[in-house]
This record gives sequence, C-alpha cells and structure tokens, in this order.
Amino acid sequence: MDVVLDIGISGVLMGLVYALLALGLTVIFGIMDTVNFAHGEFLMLGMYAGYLTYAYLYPEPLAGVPVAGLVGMLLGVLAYTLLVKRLLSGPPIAQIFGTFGLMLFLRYGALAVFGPNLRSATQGLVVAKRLVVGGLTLDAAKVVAAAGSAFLFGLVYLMLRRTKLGLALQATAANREAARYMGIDTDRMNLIGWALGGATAGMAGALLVNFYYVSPTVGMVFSMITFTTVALGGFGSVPGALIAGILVGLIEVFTAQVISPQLKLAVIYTVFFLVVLFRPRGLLGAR
Amino acid sequence: MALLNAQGVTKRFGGLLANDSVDLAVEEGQIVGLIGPNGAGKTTFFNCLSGHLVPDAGTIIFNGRDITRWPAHRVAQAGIARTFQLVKSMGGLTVEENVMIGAFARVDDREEARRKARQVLELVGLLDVADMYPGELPLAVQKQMELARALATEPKLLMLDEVAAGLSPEEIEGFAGLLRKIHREKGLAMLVIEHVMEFVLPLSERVYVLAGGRKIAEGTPDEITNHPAVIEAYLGEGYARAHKR
Repeated sequence: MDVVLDIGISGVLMGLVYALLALGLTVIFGIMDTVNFAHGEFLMLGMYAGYLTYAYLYPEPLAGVPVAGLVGMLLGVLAYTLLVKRLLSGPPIAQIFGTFGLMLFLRYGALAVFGPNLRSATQGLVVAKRLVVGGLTLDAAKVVAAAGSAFLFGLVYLMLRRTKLGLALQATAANREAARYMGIDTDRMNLIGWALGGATAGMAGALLVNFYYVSPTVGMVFSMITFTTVALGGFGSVPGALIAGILVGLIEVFTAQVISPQLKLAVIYTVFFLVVLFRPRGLLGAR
Repeated sequence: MALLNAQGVTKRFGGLLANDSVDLAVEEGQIVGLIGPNGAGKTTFFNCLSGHLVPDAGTIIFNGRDITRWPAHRVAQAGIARTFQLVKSMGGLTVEENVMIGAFARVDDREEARRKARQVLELVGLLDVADMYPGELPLAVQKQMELARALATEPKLLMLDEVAAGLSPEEIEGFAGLLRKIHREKGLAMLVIEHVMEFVLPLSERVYVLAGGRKIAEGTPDEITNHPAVIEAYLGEGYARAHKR
C-alpha cells in the first residue's frame, strides 16, 4: 500500500510539471489555433538558461528559475513576432511547418552551441535531497518542481479568470472577430499568449534542472508528453491541462513500476492514440 | 458636422465592385437605415466602417477623426460598436462576462466593468440570465446580449447588422421597442442594416438604399417607399417576401 502511495505521489509531482508545460501550449492554441511544435525546445532552452545561471553565476539551480522565465518569455515574443505572425497570412499548414522548423532550428542550434554532453546540477538547496513527511520519503527536488509548477499554474489561472487582460485573452480565444469589435487588440493578445507560453515553459525547464539532465534533445521527450497532455485535456482547455497533466504523470510512473520503465512512453502514446480515436476533443475540450 | 461621414467608399474583391463610391452620413443621435437587396454591398460597407476591411478608395470621418485605415479594435475604442448578422457570442463566458468584455473597452477595474455590465443588462432586460451561457439561450436573447455587449463599450454610434434576421414577428416587434427605448434614454446614433422593411422604415429618420454596390437613393422613409428606382430594385421583391412569412 505504501508503495502505491509513494508511486502515486511521485506521479502527481511530475504531473504538475506536465500541467504547467501543457498550459502554455493550450493557451497559445486556444487564442490562435496554432500548435507550437517548438514548445519542448522552449523548455530545453529554459533548462539551459537555468543550468548556465547555476554553473556560471550563482551555484543554486533555483536561482535560474526567474532567468529561465525571462529567457522563455523573450523566446516566445521573438518566435511570434519574427516567425508566427508572418505565417498567419499563409495557409494553416504554413504554421505547422513553421513551428516544426523552429523546433529543429532550436534543437540543433543548441546542439551546435552547447555540444551533445548531458549536464546536470550536482549541488543546491534541493538537489538529491530527501524530504520526509509523515513516514513518506519524497524527492525534495520533485516536490519543489511540483510546488513551483502548481504555483505558476494557479497564478496564470487566476490571471485568466480574474483580470481584464485574462478576460481579453479568453474573449480572443472564444471569438476573435467579436473581441476585436469590443476594442481588444487581438494581435497583442497573440503576442501575450506566446510570451506566457514561453515564460511558463522556460520556468518549468529550470525547475527540472534540480533533478533532470540537461541536453539539446531533451525537448523531444517533453514535447511528446506535452502534446499528449494537451490532447487528453482538450485543446484550449486550462482546467483540462491540469487534470490531464496529473493523469499523464500517474500513467507514467505506474507503467514504469508495473510494466517496465522502458515502456512508459509507449503507454503514454497509446493513451494519446486512444484519446484521438475515441474522444478527439479531449476530456474537457470545447471543440 | 456629421458624427459619421463616409465619402466615396469603394471596395473591390477581384473583379467584383462590392462598394462603388458610397457616400453616407449619420448625425449625432440620428437613426439611419441602410437597405438593399442581397448582394447590394451593405455588409461590405459595414465592414469598411468598422475597420474589418480597408476600403480601396474613399474616406471615413468619425467624430472629427479620419478612421479610414484604422484596425477594428481602434475603431471600437473610438466609439463605433456593432452587432453581427450571425451572433458572435463568446462561448465559455457567461452573458455577464460577455458584456464585461465590452465594458472593459472603457474601464480597467473588474468590479467597475461588472457594475457597468449589469446596468446595461438591466437596460436590455437580461439581468435574469446574467449567469447563464449564451449557448443555452434562444436566438432572440443572444441578439439582445450582443446588443448589450455593444452598448457596454459606450459607443457614440451603434451599428446593427440585420438584427431582425431569424426572429419571429413578435420578437422583431420587441427588438424595435428595445431600440427605441435605448435611443430615447441614451440619444445614441444608430446605423441599421436591414432586410425587414416593417422593422427598419418606422425606426429610421433617414434611409439609404444600396443596389449593386451603389447608392441608388436616400431620403426619409416616406420618400424611399415612393422612390421609383427603389421600388424597382428592391421593395417589390422585399415587401412580397416579408408578407409571405
């Protein structure tokens, strides 16, 4: 029983990080129906931003989180203004190829700049530390990553539900043309969506640095998990991203434990396949 | 000087001349009707006025400013609000939130926006359904919500694109009464595109008639009903159809 609880908690902890990752992707999709294939690469560059801050500026991985947030935001803004904005006047397929190309560019650009070596943080407040809570032993780095992700997710959720900007973003997602006639600058909403997506992916990346290796191709794995999460939760749905993130985290750890660690991604993709087959709009998706 | 003054508005789609040098003016507080058969270019003209399309030629002066090339959100902020032929509600947001989006065009504070939204909802008689979602409501109510949302932006000019389309005769009657009440209370200028003659003629002080992209007549409702070119282009067909329903 304790084992199940241990695994369950570990799944929920990872799931919260997935939820934060899925949040950015789903917000961008909700606002402008564009899938950002480079989302995992935003995460990867956030990890590098966090790691390099740790390695060269201040020997604490957590100090890299705000830096990674800024780097991610800047990436989002640049990707939108230099690339995506121009693709919008083309056919929808142009957006797919465009962000797919951006993914390749960032992934192999990072390989050229940082080299293929895996890097990881070896010291820090929560690196390789155990946290004992009421008889349960938890990985402190995962607890912090999950708590940070949950906090940021909550912050974005409150912003969306409670502020003028949040309602303007939701209005743009619900009906772009009507939003424009209500005085909302929908191009600016696109930009804010990308800034938000970049910043959350970047910070999720830096939170992972405490317990996950950093490499130029690390975005690949996380991209696939994030797409699965967004599809499962429903494209454009923010609560869906949270629920699906936790579900995917649980599926991952239980598969690793019960079946085999090698098969955890296979099971996640099977779930993805089944969702697409039987409930294409996802658990909470509107369309 | 007129509140809205459009001069020589021309819009071409490929080989089709959708608007051919259309002139139209709306005075402060005036209700102006814009009628014409299907394909006359009414909606294109509306889209040019509201910033959705940029005219190929002509100027649009609103409230003393040249808004010809302004994007839609700036036109809205300048004080032109519109409703749509097909209702564009924001799903996932309640009626109140939909109207708050309109109110945010003028205020930043959420509670103030909510207060304004509720005022407008009371004016159009929708306070009871404030917490419902537009998708759950009948078409006539959704159209009222759209009207409330437009009013919440505090426009100087309200443009209505075929509000009567899809409504029953009783609902149309109710809507006309509502617009009269709003006009009485707010003294708001309105530009009304309409097919249904019984709705638009009694409401309007001045009527413009488009056909084939050109303005073929303008005048008081009485002058328009007796205008030979209008009868030929539109009214015979329009009245016949309206009475058949």
